[in-house]
Amino acid sequence: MKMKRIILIFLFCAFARGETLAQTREDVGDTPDGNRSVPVHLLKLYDEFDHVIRPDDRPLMPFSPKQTCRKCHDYEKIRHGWHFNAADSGARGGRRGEPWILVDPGAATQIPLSYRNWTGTYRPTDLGLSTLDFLKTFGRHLPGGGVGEKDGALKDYMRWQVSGTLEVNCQSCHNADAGQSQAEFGMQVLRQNFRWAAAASSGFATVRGSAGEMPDNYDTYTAVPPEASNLLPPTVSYNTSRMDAAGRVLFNVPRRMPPTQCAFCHSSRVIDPTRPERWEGEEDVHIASGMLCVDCHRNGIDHQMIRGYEGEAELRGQPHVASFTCRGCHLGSSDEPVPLEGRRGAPRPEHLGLPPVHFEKLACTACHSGPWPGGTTYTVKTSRGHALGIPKTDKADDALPQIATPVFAKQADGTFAPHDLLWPAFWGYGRKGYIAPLGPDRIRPLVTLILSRDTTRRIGRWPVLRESEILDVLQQLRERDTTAGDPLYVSGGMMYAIGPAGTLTRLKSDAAEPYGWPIAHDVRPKAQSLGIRGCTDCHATDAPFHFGMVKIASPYVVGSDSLSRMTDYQDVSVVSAWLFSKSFLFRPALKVLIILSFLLIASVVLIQALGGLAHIIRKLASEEE
Amino acid sequence: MTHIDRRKFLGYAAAAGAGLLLTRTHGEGAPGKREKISGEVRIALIGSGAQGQVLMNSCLKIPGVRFQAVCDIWEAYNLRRAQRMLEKFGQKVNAYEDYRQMIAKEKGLDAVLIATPDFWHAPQTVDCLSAGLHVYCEKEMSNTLEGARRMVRAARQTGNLLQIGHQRRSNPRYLHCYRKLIREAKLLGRITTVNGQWNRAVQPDNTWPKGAVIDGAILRKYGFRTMEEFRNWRWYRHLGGGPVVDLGSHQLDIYNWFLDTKPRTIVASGGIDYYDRKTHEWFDSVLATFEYETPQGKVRAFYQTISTNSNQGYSESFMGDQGTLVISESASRGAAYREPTAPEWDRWVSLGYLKAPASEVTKPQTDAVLDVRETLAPPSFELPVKFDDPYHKPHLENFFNAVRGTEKLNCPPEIGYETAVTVLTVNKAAESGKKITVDPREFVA
Repeated sequence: MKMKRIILIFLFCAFARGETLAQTREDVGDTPDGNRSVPVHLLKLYDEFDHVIRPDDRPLMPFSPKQTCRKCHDYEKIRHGWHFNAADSGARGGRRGEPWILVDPGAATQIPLSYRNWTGTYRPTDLGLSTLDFLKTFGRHLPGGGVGEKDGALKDYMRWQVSGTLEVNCQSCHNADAGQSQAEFGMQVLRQNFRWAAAASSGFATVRGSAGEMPDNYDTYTAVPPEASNLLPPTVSYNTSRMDAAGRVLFNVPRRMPPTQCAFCHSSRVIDPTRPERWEGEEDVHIASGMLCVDCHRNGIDHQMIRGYEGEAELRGQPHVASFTCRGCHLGSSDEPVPLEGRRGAPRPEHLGLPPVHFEKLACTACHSGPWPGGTTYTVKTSRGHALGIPKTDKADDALPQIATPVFAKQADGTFAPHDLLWPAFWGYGRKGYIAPLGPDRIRPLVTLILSRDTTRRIGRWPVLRESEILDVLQQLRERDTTAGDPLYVSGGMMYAIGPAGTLTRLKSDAAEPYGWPIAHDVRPKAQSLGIRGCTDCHATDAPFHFGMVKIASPYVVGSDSLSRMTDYQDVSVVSAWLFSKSFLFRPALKVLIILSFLLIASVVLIQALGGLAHIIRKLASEEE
Repeated sequence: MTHIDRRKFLGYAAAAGAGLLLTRTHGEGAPGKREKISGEVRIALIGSGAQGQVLMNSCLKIPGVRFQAVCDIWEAYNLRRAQRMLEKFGQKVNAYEDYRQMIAKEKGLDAVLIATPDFWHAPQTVDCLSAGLHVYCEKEMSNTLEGARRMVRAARQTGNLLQIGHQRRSNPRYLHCYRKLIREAKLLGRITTVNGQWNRAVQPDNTWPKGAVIDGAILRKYGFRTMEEFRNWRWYRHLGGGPVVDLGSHQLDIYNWFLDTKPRTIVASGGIDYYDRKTHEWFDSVLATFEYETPQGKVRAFYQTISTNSNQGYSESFMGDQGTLVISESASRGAAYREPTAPEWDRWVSLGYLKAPASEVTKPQTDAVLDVRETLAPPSFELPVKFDDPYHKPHLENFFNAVRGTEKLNCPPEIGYETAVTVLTVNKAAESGKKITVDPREFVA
């Protein structure tokens, strides 16, 4: 009896403790109870040390999204999501996407970078860029987290103490307040105000000053050192009218985020001289019809956002993810136990008259996405490539980097799809089949010195390199370091090296190949699909799909090589494509001929048949008689 | 009489010689004197606040220096921050709140850096020197002359090294100006006037993170009444000397150095004109005038330090009948200007003492008839010395090299004492409103 009592008491205590733990679990906001209304996010603000922020605090600290949001959400899980995990070891990169592009005209450099293992990109560390260096250049279009929370290089340790950690800024996506400004977040990151950036972007706080200008030993709790007292340290002030009596702030967190949240980092502008004004172009048909990005690009608390490409489901080991591709939504699959197509009223396409071979050889995007192709590719500017949305960014149409679009190229799965395309240009050393690129800081002084010898030449977007100058730089690179390998320059699809005779030699190399990434937006409406006007939209000898020209935008391109053929990216012979396209000249006539022939044959058969029938009838009649 | 044969005698002599060679703490003169060392210098830091971290940052860039211990009474913040930083750089250190425990426990220490509030400099320096350690003590030497005197005497008695942290004394730009331009070239001719200022913007008081308040008992143990006082000690009379000591000591030290003498008279005006007197006991604005007697004649010097406006920042300018030298620790200022009537400076340019002016300065074109009364702005002869290191690094290097016996200290305690007398007398003069004549003997500890 006594033992029984002890056991009961023990079980009671264990149960009670479990209940208590359940109530205080961090992810209480991640476990839905089924209610479809939106929880009101009236929140106390917490600083990076998890202290509640009060308006009369001295000094006022910026609120920390991590400490504030993790009260209810599993921050640890979230920060390994797709938007934050590029530098996580073991994170899957999946289909290659838009890289970060390091551009330095003074160094004749344009190089695609990524922390993901996408073939054709280089890791920032390959160029000697620390995580801090990376954030100083590209952090403007990051939602925080990622390398912003990783241990930096030792040489940057003091700077990280001054700037603070760049936490995941949940508000970048989840705060639909009219004052939420991702541009402000980007500006603060560029000022190295990592600790303050989220507060600055919130719409109810103002941040002044710059951590980037502070000396190494600057401390938030100590006034600026006297030898730097003319500089403005980072400080935050809050709009206290947004705080209730308990110091809580209302965050506008809808269930489905509007597309404008995504647009800051995911915008692009095709430079089309025939339609220079924004109102003359169209937005994605899905958005125009009232859909949101998150209707397709969904995720759970793990923030492993669906990208929506064919094959993603298999890579993730989640078959139902296939229902979020174009096919999945519009066509569905009979393999699914429950039909999933038709989400949000997605129409089922008829594809009248389209031979089925198109569905084997083309991705949906080939006909439906990107700009309607012209004879030569357009230039496109992107948020991440061109800092779109950041105040005072270069708005010129020819701002670097120069990306070509649309380029109909063959993907890894064998289908054709439209791509954006970038031609890498960089200096480096080649050794044992590997090329080590040189960061612009190392090469710029040398290139600028050589170019400045000809002071009569104006340098535009790219320095106008001559072969003799490329050779000069390569020779100087060789003299500076004889052990690093062969000095090389990549540009315009070619690699340049010092030949045996000491002259400049051109080589073909994988490293010189352009880097392309498939595009899926903007999706054009059905009436603007390729093929809507007939087969010759693509199957004509002047149709851009096969015969368009792709601009090679790079510092050094040899004369006639400044354009390349679309077929160069399609693993298709230009001759066979031409012949096949030519066949479409007489195809309509051929169809008419076939139909007429059929009618003729049918008529002859009919006449013969009728004649035979008449003979049979006459024979039967005569037998009766 | 004991018979000692030759073999025994040689043995005893060898043992005595080996004993002399191996002993670290014995030497000529005073007890506790350290031998000069070679190789890695093992150091500890007392005071890991803002200035301590500046010193740490510089030391981490100096090869052959290793932190062994760090001490600060603010365990929850300063001490942890410093310890974490040093460990990040691969230097595992022992942490202490009480410096006396540190010097008692830490074996093998060679030197100590002291970056605590001024009123602690004297007791900590004296204790460390007496414990056989070399000391680098931040300026101001002490908030009292009595304290400064004790430091000088302790250094003399122990024979250990004491460097005072007037880091401009080791700054290559300042050394160039002193050695090449003033002493050798006598570029400025007869120096007649010196001006200097340190203009600092209005600043809020230092604060502290929530949850990192020091226990009252510990604060009181170390001389502070409140956390506010601890964080803003410079403004309190029993703890520091106010802006003219914090900032002016740097520049007044340069006045004495470049003029090779100390002031004979000091007049000053100062007041708590702007800040809250409850939390700011020292003058927030001080304007002082000095008279120096040099072999070439009288030099009148002016100095101001204000805490309400940062325009023009900080710099010193030495004006002679042949030219002006403007210099600042900030690398953006450092140039000489020739007086129109002075001889050309081509020789000094060709010797590399000065850079040639960037371009010929021409008179602006105007529509007026040529006016010969207009004078040109003097061309600027920039200093040829580039200095990109942290400001305190050369002075620390000088100290560590002196510890190794390869250099002499650039700012030994005697010089530090002279500056202490100068700056502390400015406060006295501002207080009294009278001209103070300083006997030259007062500059000797």
